[in-house]
Amino acid sequence: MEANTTLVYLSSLFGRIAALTEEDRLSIEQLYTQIMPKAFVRRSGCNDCYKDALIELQIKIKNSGMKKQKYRLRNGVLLFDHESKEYYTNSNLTDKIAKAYLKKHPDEAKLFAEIPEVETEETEVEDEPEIPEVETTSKGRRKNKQS
Amino acid sequence: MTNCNALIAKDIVASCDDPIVGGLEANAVIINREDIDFALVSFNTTRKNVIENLPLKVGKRGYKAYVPGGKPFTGTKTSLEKGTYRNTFANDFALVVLENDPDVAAQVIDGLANGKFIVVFENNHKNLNKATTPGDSAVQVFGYYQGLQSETIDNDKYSEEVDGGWSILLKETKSPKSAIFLYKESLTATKALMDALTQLPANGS
Repeated sequence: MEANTTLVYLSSLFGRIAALTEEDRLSIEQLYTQIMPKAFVRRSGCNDCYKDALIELQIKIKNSGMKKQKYRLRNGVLLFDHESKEYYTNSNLTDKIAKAYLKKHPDEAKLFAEIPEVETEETEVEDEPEIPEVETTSKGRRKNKQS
Repeated sequence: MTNCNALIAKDIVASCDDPIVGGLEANAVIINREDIDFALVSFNTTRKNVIENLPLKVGKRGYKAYVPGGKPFTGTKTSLEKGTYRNTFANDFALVVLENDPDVAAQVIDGLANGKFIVVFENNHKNLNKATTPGDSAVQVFGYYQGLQSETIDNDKYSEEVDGGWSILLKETKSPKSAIFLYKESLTATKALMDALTQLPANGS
């Protein structure tokens, strides 16, 4: 599934979040496991788990497309960029940021749990994809915004 | 190497702008001590009781401990221990597990009974009005030096307090420092670091 199609699909799920079927939930779990740098936790009695997962997936796909993250930090690590004053954990780290950070701080590679071994063309971090915004129509349906 | 000095080096005052308050927040993190990658733990360059990164071994995670109520983790404290040549500190971390089923018994209680742990918890007192390093009072660490081990574990079926749940006291003895804090740049960043301890690895293990 392409990024645009997935975003439209996620938006449609979001539109009926209160009435998700078991199939919808499984689909969210599979997408989450496929794309996010961490596993989906199915907690009993958690009403917002799937809503939260949908939001996280939408942000991740908008920021870095459908590809699974290649760089992942160890748990318990926070990277702080003294120039930008930004901090990163696995929750907000993107491959692009990780690659740029490691270029400046190669000695901190030991704080990563996963780093692509060889930067081949295939593993090279791509620029952030241009994805059209998804907006909600007045009838509650979602559609791709035409630019 | 110089002798460790045993002198105080700061005035003792009470902050009127940010008065100290007691108690703990309801969320803490328990980590199996053997899952910490000690070689990668980093301390502040000048304040050696401030941990700035607490990396776990690859594929390992900490576990959330949520205790509801007005006084969560009641009984948690630090006390002086008199020694022959040097005094040290004992840390008590008290928690309750308000659940009891086969999974809780096997995966939580049995582990707590025999393991060694590090606990990261959040004080109610944040100290956000400090001129420098605001918020560095918030997150504290027990068990870094010696590990916390179970001192008592009770499951009183008629307990008025825990209603048949588990009541646990973890204890660290002979810690050479009175307190270890977790702090990196700001309280927001530190809370993000605390959250980063419990993320499930991508493979779900």
